[in-house]
Amino acid sequence: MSRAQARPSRSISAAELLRFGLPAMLALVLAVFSALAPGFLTVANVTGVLVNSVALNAIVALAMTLAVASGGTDLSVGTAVDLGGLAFIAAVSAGQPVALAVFFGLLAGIGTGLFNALLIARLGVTPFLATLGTLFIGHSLQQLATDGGNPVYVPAGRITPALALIGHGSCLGIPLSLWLVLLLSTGIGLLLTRTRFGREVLAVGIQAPAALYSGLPVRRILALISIASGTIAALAGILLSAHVNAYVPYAGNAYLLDSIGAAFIGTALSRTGRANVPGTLLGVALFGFMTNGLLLIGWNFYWQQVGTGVLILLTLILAFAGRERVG
Amino acid sequence: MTLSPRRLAIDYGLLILLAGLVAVFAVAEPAFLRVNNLFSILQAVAIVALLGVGVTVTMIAGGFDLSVGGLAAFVQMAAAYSLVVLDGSTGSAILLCLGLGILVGLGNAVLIVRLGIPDLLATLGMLFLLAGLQLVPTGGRSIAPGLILLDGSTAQGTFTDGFLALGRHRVWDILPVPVLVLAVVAAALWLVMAWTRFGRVFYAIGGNELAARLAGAPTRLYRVAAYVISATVASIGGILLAARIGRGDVSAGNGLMLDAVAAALIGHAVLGANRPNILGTVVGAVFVGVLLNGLTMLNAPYYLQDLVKGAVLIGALAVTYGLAPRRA
Amino acid sequence: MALAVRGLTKSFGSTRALADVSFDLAAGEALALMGANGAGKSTLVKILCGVHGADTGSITVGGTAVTFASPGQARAHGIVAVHQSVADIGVPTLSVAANLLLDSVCTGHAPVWVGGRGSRRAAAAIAAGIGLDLDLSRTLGTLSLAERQLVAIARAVAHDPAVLILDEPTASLSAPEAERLFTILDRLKSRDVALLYISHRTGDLRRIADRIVVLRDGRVAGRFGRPLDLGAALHAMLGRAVGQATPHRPRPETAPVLRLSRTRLAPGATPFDLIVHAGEVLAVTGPVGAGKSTLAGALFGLWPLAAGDMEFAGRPWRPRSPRDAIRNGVFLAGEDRWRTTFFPATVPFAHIAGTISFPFLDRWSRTGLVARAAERRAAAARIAEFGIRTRGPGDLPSALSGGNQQKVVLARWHAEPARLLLLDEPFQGIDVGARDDIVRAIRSAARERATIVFVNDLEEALAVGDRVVSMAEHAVVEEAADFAEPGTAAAGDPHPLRPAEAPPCHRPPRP
Repeated sequence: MSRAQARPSRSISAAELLRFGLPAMLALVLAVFSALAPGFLTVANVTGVLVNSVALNAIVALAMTLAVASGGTDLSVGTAVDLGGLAFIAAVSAGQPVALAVFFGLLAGIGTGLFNALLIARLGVTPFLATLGTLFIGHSLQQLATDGGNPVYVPAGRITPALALIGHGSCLGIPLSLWLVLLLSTGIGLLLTRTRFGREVLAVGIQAPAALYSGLPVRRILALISIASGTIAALAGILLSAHVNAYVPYAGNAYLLDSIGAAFIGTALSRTGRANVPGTLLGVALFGFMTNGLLLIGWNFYWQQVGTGVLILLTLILAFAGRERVG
Repeated sequence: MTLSPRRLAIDYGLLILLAGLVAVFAVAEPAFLRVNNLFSILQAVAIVALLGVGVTVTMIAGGFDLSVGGLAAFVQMAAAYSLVVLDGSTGSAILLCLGLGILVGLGNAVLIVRLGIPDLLATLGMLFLLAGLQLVPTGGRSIAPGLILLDGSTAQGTFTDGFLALGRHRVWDILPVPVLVLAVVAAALWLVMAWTRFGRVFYAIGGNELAARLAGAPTRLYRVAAYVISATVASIGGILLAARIGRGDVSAGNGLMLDAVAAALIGHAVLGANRPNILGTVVGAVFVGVLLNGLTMLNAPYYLQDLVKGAVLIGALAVTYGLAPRRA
Repeated sequence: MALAVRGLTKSFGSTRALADVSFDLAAGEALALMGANGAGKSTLVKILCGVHGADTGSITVGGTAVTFASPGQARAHGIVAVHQSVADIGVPTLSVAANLLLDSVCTGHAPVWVGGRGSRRAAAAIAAGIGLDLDLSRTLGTLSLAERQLVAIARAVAHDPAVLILDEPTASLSAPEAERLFTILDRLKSRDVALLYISHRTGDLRRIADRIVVLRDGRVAGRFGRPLDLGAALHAMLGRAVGQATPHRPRPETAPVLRLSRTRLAPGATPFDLIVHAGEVLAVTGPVGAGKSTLAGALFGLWPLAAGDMEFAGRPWRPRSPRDAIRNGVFLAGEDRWRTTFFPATVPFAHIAGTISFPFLDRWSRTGLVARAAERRAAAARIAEFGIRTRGPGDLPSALSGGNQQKVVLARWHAEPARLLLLDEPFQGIDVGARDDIVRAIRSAARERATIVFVNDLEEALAVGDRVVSMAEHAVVEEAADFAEPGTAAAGDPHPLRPAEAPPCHRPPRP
């Protein structure tokens, strides 16, 4: 029946197993590919994976982790990535200072989150469906703003050192994007585990009635999470577009699946069964290295996509099999 | 019971709005009301409406199926592959497609009913898996007669006339086959859901699964059936899609899922049913179709389409969640 | 003999729920089953209708010994029960007619085509079977609790049962509705249906019962035949004479803390006044659906009053949310602790310390970080104060017994001083010993605040309250004078779909 009723001895051993599930899976992926592909476990390749695939995915997945922790799924993270990038590039192209452009980009993310918050907290629409609607509207907004979905390139004259710094800068030899991942994951990790607000978010996500009866402003918490999620995702959009000096329409959609996968893989394969930052990061790394490894051993892009889908389904099965169905 | 404006808005809002739209478009562009145009609207929405009907069946049983769009696209590729690459006959292509659909439906059912994965997540995972799988046989290229295969040879088959007719033929030169198929499938499922004891059990499971189980219903079997029906209907949609575009297009499935879900959700609001219903879903799909067709006729840019759809979806959600009495 | 039960015994873990229970029930007879909370009534009913198996003992139906593996098998042997549970509410999204036909539809006995004239006629026949006078096309979810109860009874009667078990069927019915039910039950008796009627409302018993069996602590504590001596039966049920153990305590000479004037809990409900003094424990009793939880929720800011004014500590009281209420010292320990208080083990603060500290995190730490040491100290102090049997503040509530779980709930709302403490069904699912502990705990800390305890069970109300009032039809109707017959005029709940009162979806079963 329920997990609470499982005999202590059994639940502990199962818990221990799950605690090591994700690191073990990552180790397995690393071991298999380093055996199959000679170039896999080199400094250059690992750094490449971390910078090119893991960093931005991790930022978006962290946004998703917040949403999952509060009991929802944010399908509009990709939209926030796109709108953030669009606003940023549009401002840069118009000759605005980069700092102001970053501000505009973040504003676009906040706006996306605010729109979700309105639907979720004011109208009481479930987060999944609300963010689905936002996904539609965001898609159309991009088309409207770009004459039907044309990329926007920053004119050569406008590529300033500040822009290059955001896109390609590094500190102590570590790229800016990875620093940001470090900063955000520390922040969100501490928020979820150590702070009052973190407890409140988890309480709302896992047992909303008890949260309400304990005096929490449930709707306000959901609204705040939506806004935070949109803002963080927009940050990824700014980094992405600064990196390529362009805004590419719908580029953010690619992050949606991976972020859902990473957040849920991290949730499922954890001892506690709740959304957590280390789990999400391990999940992102797992996806990144698996895709890279498959590429190196010669699988094409389409098989990678299938592999990711299978991995997600396997994770879900692992996470829910044997558990009593809730609600 | 008095008809308050609020009640009126919930019960007849969508139909009044639809009538209003038709009137506005008819005045602005007389060609709008031509029989031919009306049927092309129906033809345009037939596939989305079919997928929406499938989603509706799962919603009636208290579930959700997000994989219908991905499945239709996948089936569409499979049909093209079977016809063009394998040089198969019309019948074998159709059988293959329906078989794949049933298989995917069973897969969803195992994930959701047997393994207890939440329906939204399981079908989302299935959607992504299918989106990847459909690209594999051709290395991500669309399938048309004369396709150069991955091993360098040229595909020998073509789309048969019989198959193409499924998407393009007009019965008595007026009624497109997809519309006919939609009418038959929707009417059959509507009859089952609204008028038979089987449909009653589907609704009972969606309303209170425990009560249905204690009343003696094999609820798991019904939930499995819901996902299989949904997937089968979606694969019929995929066959029609392949027949209409006459090739296997890798991007054909884009947006189908969202459109279908939107149609089903809009359908909640039709006639104040305030619950998933087959007829409502068809009306919802037609509503979006009329809106898009009219806007196109008025020369609105095509990229307004998603905005309109999103706005309609959110409007429907607002009516279902906001105006309707709060449900537990 | 329609039903013969011999030596039925059932234990859950170390708790003995039933010990050697025997009784007979003849066809056409109504046997009343009385017992306080935790006396074993519900266990007995669950065994009879196939939900649980018995450890030892035998059940004989119509002369043949039977064992049931499922409710379906019990039903096949002619034993049908009407519980007060989610399942009996039926399917709220379907019409009354569809709900009446639910059993035949779900088991495949109905014709394939439904919804037409044939089904309408079949549903109407089932409704007519108990004289149910309702618009059968209405959606069940829009019906009052009382009407839904009648629909559930009609469904049960449609099975043509040999033994019909009714679990407090009048709890949510008004007097005329109850009388209608009794007329139906009389008709069933005359058709040789055996009735097992669970209730301790003396009005019901006087009207319908032929004999009474009283359970106390899992044993048969008394058997009474006609003429029924209800006083003796109540004495056997409670283990003492009514009204002796809890003499009325004098109302303290203190200022009123809470004053309700011309209050309506629902549009159209009778307005009422209510005053609660500091240092007083007021017990509010009344049947399910009488509005007890509605009143508690209005005081706690979960929903507004329909009309009227509240005054709290001399000021107008209009809480906007539970958060607002808690900040002002109005605490509510909600009914169903697994839904309203505890968190499942997936949150990191599901342990006792985290449960207790949760509403007060902002008071205990200004920085936004969680003051873990303070939280543990506070929990350890409360564990000692309330005598909670546990290894320490880090234990999960799910590892505790029901009584200790409830003590954790109480401990939480004593972690900060309350000015008005509301306790909704604080004795749910606990044994008699734990109940006495909790009564003592509530009473010993009551001096500094006003306390309102909401309980369905009259005996619990008498045990805990300085003063007992009863509610019916969403109004406080009387200072309960005739304790044996509270709320004879109760009506249905006009807000059946209030979101906060949704059926609980997930909680560990009680031991």
